[in-house]
Amino acid sequence: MPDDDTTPRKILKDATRVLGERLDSAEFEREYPPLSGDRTEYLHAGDQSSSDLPLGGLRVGVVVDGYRIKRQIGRGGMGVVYEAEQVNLGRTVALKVMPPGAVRNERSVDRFRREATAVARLSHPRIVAVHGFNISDGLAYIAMEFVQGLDLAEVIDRLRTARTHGRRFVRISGPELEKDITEWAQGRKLIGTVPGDPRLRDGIVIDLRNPFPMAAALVADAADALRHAHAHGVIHRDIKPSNLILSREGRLKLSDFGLAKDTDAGSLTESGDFVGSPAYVSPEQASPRRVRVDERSDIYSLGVTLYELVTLHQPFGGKHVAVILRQILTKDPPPPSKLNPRVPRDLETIVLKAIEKDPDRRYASAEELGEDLRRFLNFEPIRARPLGAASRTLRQIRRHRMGVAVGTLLIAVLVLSALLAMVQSGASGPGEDQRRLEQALLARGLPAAQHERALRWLAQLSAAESAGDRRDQLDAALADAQAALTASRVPELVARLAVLDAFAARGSWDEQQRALLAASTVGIKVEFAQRLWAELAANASGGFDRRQKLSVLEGLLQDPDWLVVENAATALGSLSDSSSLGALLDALGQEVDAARRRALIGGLRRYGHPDSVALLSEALHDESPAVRMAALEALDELDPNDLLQRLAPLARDKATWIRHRYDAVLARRGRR
Amino acid sequence: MKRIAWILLLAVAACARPEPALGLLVSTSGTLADMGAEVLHGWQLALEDVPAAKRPHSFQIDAGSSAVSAVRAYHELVDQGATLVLGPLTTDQAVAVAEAARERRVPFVTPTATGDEVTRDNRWAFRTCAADRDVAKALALFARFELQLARLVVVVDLSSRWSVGLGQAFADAFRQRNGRVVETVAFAPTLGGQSTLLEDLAQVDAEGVLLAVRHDALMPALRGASEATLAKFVLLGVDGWQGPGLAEELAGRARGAYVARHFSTQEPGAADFIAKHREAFDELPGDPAALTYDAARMLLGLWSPEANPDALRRALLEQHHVPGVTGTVRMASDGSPNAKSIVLEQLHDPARSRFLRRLAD
Repeated sequence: MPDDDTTPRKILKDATRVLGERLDSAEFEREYPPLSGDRTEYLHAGDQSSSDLPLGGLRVGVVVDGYRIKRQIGRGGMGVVYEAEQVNLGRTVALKVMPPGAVRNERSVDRFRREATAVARLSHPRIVAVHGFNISDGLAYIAMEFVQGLDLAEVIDRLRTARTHGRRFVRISGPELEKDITEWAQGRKLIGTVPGDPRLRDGIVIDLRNPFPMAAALVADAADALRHAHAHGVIHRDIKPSNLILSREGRLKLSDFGLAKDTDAGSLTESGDFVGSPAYVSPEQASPRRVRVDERSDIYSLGVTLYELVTLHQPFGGKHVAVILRQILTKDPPPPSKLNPRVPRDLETIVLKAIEKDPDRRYASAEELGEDLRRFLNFEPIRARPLGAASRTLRQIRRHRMGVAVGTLLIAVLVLSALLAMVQSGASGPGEDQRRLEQALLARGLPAAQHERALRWLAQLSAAESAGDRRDQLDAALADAQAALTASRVPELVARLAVLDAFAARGSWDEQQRALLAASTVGIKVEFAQRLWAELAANASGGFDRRQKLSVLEGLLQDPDWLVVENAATALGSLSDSSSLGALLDALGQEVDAARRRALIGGLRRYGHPDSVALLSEALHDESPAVRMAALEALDELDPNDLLQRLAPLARDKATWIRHRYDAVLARRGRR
Repeated sequence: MKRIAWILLLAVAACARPEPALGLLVSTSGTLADMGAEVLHGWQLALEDVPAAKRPHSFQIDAGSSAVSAVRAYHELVDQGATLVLGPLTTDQAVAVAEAARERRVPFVTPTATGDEVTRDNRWAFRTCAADRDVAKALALFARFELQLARLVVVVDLSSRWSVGLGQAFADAFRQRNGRVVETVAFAPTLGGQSTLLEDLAQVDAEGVLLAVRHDALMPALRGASEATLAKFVLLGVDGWQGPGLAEELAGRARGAYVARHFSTQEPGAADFIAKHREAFDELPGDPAALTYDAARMLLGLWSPEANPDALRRALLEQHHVPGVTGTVRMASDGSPNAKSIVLEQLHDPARSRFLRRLAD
């Protein structure tokens, strides 16, 4: 009887989980092409089994370099993992084999070798041991300690399922792991809330009403493993629940060092590619800029794992990688207690400290994290301190000053608007206003010279006693903004536009001037977007770096004027910088105006990225037929495998012309 | 004493109040100055149709060539007593002025701005020309059913609200008739590259190109296009194409070039107007002159010094049948004429350049 784990369906399911996104079989085949030619014959030479051939993998029973393949147990970006028997020693190992296509790729082989050598120099009871590896003759594999049990992703799945079905207890280790726990739990009082408790002879059982000690204990064990790896100069870079395996004996083991890197070697791949699993990567990994990644990045990822264990939610969700990465960079996670009110305050403090965006504010080492978790388990005072409101505000400002979110004009506009409203209402004194305005401008990461100038202008406007005076001041400011645009003084222009927007948004501004202000700023923004597009296309510097310029364009996606959005979306779509996709998707997801939605879809169409398929599919239900048609055409160009299925709702569209176009797509594909 | 002071104050205030006037918002400087001159021609001819004693008090202010200058000029007109404003010229200007009009509550009537959004949700904004949706519909019908084109490229200028809006309106209209817009090329003047606009499309699988651009962007594109490219595509144009040297540039090179306009000098029903224009200015009238002529005649007929801006606004809504040289205005409740007619002209052979038809009148 074929093992269920080796069916293509199961492999796809696993791949979906491992890769964090859904794959279809054709895509999967492309990524992991089946072995072919002589090499296939060679690998299958010892095959005595009639088992099915898993997709792109090794046949069950084949002996590869002394390891007999028993079944496939997983699949990741770096290879397929099999349960195998080391024939000469008779021991079971996990054999991780590189996909045949990847063996021809020097970079992939380097990564594979790095994983093997990194783990080989680690020896720790919480780290999966390496027994051997070989990279030669078109074959690359690592033989590792075989750990039977559930990984924490499966544990979390079980917890979620139990919660959905209203069950209280969940068994996550032990010899009777597969047995239904309902019967076991009847009439029992749960004993032993941490792994290693001698009373847990039957394995670990989690009580969903109080899973916190067990979660803390498991993560503390993982922190021990990380401490050892870091002490030996190895950064894991891909800490996530599925890489933390809980053996049937209840021992947690850290596995999969496929993305590991020596601490001396920097943080990014040579090309600056994003590496890691989207939901668990640290802000420094998610950043499109080349930021050095160190041990604290692993601490962040482990913190996210703990967050998910205690809340059963990831801090940042989303269907698209780009959206998740953007949130990691720019948004604060909801406090765990909001998702699960039972989360103890100390544990929440630990989690939030571990997933601080600024690495300097996280635990400095895995050891510190582990120690605080053990203090929590022992009912001792923890070292981490919760953040107050003031600290949170300051942190926001610091984060912006770091340049992560330079160009998020909207935020600045809101801050400035609020401050200006206060100036007008006389709610605070002029000194206080100026101080707060200064803070807001500082938060935008602009050079100090721009602050002084903007503050001076704001002061003049505030001091203007008559509408006529204010009009003159505004005229002067508009002329200055135009001059900054003409002279390509980008930072100055960003500051001026933020302030002008703030005034435009202010309700009490001289009404006669509002239209003038809007017309002026739209013209400037349109030309600004085009200039940024030109500079980015030509890789010209112009005072701001590439990311900052992209951020300015991303900020313009939120503009109330559709022509500005059209320009920004066209520029970003044409530039197709991977870091801007999330901004386009976010903007489309939040946009309420049909003209602006259409502009954003146009940008995504130029971008041509498969991550936009889901949102474009949603736009097929838009109330505006023009938007529906734009989405249809964009999807048609993107041509996802399930295109016809996605377009199916259009078969009943109210607009005849959209139905006709849908029919044309069908006809072109030979369905009608 | 106090009472006398009050009376004096009120008298001074009454004297200081500007005389009600019909304001003309016309571009006489900048890149739109040439078109502005045509607008003035149309205005002048319309004014001459009114007996001198019955001519209203009117004055003009330069709207410049940008949206900002148009808004400034509108405010100035209103400040100086305009209770009804004729102008501005372009969609970009009119959209900005519409916002100002919403605040000042003095209606304006643009004779030439076609952008659909100009009059959208704004009771103080009017136009007398056909809107983009009408131009787009006429051109799409012509392209699809007369020229039998099925696959087109649309080229728009990202700097221009008019260009992008018209391009979208045309694309929608063409698709609604089962045509396929295979590509939308959005160019930014700041980035340059106008001279290769058409040539870059040489390999695109399309039969024609709509160039929703103005004359100054069109000419470099035509000059930069190879003979093979021009022979491949049918070119479709819009009212912004008007300008010197166009027919000559296309002569003998283009497979075909057709333009949707508001007015044609070959139109039989406009002979008197054309003759008057030629006599006064020694040249044939263009679209801005003809459109302004019609709009001005309508405004001169309804304006009254006694009527306040709101009364004038209501009077505009009553203009249900106003014939003119550019077709008949049937003002709809949204401030835009209902199904105003469109002229189609063939341009690619100057010797055979001809008025084709007026649609939808």
